[in-house]
Amino acid sequence: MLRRLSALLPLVALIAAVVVIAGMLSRSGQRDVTTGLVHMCIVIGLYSFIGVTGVFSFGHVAFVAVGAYVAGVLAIPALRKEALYEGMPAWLAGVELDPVLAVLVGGVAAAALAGLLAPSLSRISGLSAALATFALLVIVQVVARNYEPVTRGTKGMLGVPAETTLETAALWAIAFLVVVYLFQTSRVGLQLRAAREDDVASKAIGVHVGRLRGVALVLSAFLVGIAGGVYGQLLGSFNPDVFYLDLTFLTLAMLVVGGMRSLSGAVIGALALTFLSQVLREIESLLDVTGLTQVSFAVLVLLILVLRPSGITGGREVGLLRRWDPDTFEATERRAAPLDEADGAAQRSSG
Amino acid sequence: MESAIQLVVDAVSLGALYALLALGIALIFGIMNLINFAHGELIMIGGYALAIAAATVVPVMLVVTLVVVVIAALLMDRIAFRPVRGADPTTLLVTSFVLGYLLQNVAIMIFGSLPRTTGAGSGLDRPIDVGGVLVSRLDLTVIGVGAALIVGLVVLIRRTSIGIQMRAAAEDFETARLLGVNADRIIAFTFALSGLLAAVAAFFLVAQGGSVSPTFGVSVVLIAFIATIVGGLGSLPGAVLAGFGLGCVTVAFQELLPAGLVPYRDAFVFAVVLLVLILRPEGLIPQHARATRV
Repeated sequence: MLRRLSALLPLVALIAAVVVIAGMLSRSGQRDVTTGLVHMCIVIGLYSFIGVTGVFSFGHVAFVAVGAYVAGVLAIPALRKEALYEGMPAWLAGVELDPVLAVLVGGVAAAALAGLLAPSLSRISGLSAALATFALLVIVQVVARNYEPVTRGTKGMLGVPAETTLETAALWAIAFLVVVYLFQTSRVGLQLRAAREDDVASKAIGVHVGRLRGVALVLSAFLVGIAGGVYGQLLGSFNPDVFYLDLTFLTLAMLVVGGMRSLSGAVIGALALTFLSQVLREIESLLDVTGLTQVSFAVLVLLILVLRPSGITGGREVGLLRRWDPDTFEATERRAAPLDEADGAAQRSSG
Repeated sequence: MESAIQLVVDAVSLGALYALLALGIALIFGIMNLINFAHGELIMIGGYALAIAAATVVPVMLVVTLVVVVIAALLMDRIAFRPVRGADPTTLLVTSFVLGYLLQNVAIMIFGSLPRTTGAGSGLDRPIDVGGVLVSRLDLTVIGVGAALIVGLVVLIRRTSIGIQMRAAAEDFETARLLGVNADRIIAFTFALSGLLAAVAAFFLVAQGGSVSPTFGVSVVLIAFIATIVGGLGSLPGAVLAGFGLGCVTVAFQELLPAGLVPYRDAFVFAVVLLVLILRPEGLIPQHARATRV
């Protein structure tokens, strides 16, 4: 197992380098990098479902929200709850957990929600699955907005202990990497990736595709739920809007820009877009033109997608991970790639 | 009785609007597997075109809006979507919402982020007396125009050469091209049609709300997306059916839920969507051409 994990070294080193460099930045710069690392956690969690199973999801931010709210409510000191949250049920108002424990419970809550839905969701694939999970996102969003005794509705949750630092965010990201790497190279992970490449063939050799997709959903909900709790403890106060379309689109864009079929893609996509928006923001503040950041960010992301439709990594693992890991599907991917490319080129040239 | 009729008119007009929105998305999805999230920004562009052209006479305003939105749709295809054509559906999806985000922010730079009020289409908000029941003139217009557009689209797709080419391309893009269907032309035409639908939807939405903002199209495009998928992944009759269904379900929950639960209306609507998808994962009207053949 240790030998297997050594394949992760380049990505871990990359994250460590980011932490070291961020340490030299200003306070607000550090905070932005921390946010980027939390986004990376969400993207790695997303990858463990979307990347591994090939089924798209628009609704994982629902699990992020559940994690953030559950972890938030559990970690707020009881005294503060009494002052800020009117009408919170007494059994909840008295609870005060250690922040890390609260985050884990938040993850479990998100996983439980996913477990509830998994049997029905595993029937669905493709864009229908994306929409079904999106429906879940809307439902969670509406509840968070209206269930004021616990969430304070659109006024937002206040007083969540700000425990997340640059280092803890990085540690979570690394822990996520390890978990997801072990998952994707496990028996279940390999079966799921086989089903991703060819649904029918893998069913024919006895893979329980639906059931295993349910497993992946629960795992990824657990991970993004934890990421949500960590995010909440970075923000300190947040309202339901934080966990809606913007975060959904940003994290999906990170995954796709990095290359949604490799773990390296998840890491690199998150880093690339965080870096990009930071640099653009610096330029904007130098030039003093408002709105430039968003517009040029979108243009550059579009450019990346146009130039590299399968993401920066093109669905391959990076560096050592690629060479040392006999378990990845790299060989088949390499064989499949020229076909895809030829196909794409044919469509483009006729176009 | 009176309120029941008003309710039905409400539901049908909301359904017709949703059906128009869904058709705009479903047309393009059928042909190139792209859920065009930037469709909402076409509607937003239409809204601003209306707001600006509202100073002129009504026919000029409508024509200007139509032309502007159709041109925007064609540019979208040429600049953003043609280079990624044939890529993974996920890449297409992300491309479209990044494009939407880009257009929203361009609109913020030009018009500011606050909603801009406009009187375009405000002549339609007076109620009209139909057999003793007051119904909104706007609702009736939406129903009438919506029905006319749907019939027009059916005729176009069933009877004309370009319509047949569109159907062939939706059925099997590669084979259609081998048989001489010009891919670029068909896709551009489809985008133009979708732009037309967006312009009409923009007019109704502006007449309804009286203002337009950079994020004007976001929530409506989500509804269209839902209707497209629930209808059956690019099935046009399915999109219309799901659009109407969604409109009726929304109005029904608005009226029937106990007062304490009305704020949760959307949660109930989406629970129904989730249920429909679980029961019919291929949508209301499945597209057999899309099923995997073994």
